[in-house]
Amino acid sequence: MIRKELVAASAEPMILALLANGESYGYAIIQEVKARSGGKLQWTDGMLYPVLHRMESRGLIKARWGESETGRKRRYYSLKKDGKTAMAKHHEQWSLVHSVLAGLKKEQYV
Amino acid sequence: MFNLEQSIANWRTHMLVAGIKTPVPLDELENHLREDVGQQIQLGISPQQAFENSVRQIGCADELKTEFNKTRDTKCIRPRKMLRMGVIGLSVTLILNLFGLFVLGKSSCAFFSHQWWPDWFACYCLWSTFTVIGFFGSANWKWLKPTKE
Repeated sequence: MIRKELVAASAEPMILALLANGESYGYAIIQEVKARSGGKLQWTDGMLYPVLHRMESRGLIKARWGESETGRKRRYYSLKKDGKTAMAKHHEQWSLVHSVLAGLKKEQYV
Repeated sequence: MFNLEQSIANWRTHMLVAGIKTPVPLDELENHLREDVGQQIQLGISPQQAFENSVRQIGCADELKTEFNKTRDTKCIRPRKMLRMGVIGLSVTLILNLFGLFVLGKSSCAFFSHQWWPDWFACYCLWSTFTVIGFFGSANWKWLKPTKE
């Protein structure tokens, strides 16, 4: 299981990247993250919503009420222009961290 | 005998009592709960067990309230929005002012006439303040945003 600090830090870039593929809603976002991480990246489900609301209030994403297949109302989120910019920044920073770690690990085997 | 609808209603009441009072998060959380319970029931889990699993997975009300409160703290009028509101407000006030002067021929609408101040001064002051704060804020609006995320 991944440490909760890392899970929290990766939440925003993860959500932005998922929403870049199209609009989605809370439950689907959680399921997608679980599936893509093979169940290793586990959020407390309820904690996703404050993160989504914070991102919405910062203008990174927008929300609209729609309907689910069963007719229940559902809140869909999609990416805004500022969200795309934030995603690019996140990607750059996480790539840097990854490359530094990968470089260090490589040196250990030389 | 377990009643799913009653249990969901009780859970919602518990959330309300704990302080999650705004409808949007509560509705969203309830939808999430229903969706998760439904998925688990489809996999063959009993409604009671599915409900208990979902409630546990959603998390406790106090922690959620704390997180949602952080969201409320970060909500502030962004400078660009303030600038836009200020400019629109000033424009509308000016148009109304000129409309009154030239179309209706009301002297009280004329700039700097003796009746101008009480009629329009407050409007100009308000929208000018929005415009100025919005303008300087847009240039470097970090100072208007809470630093704590």
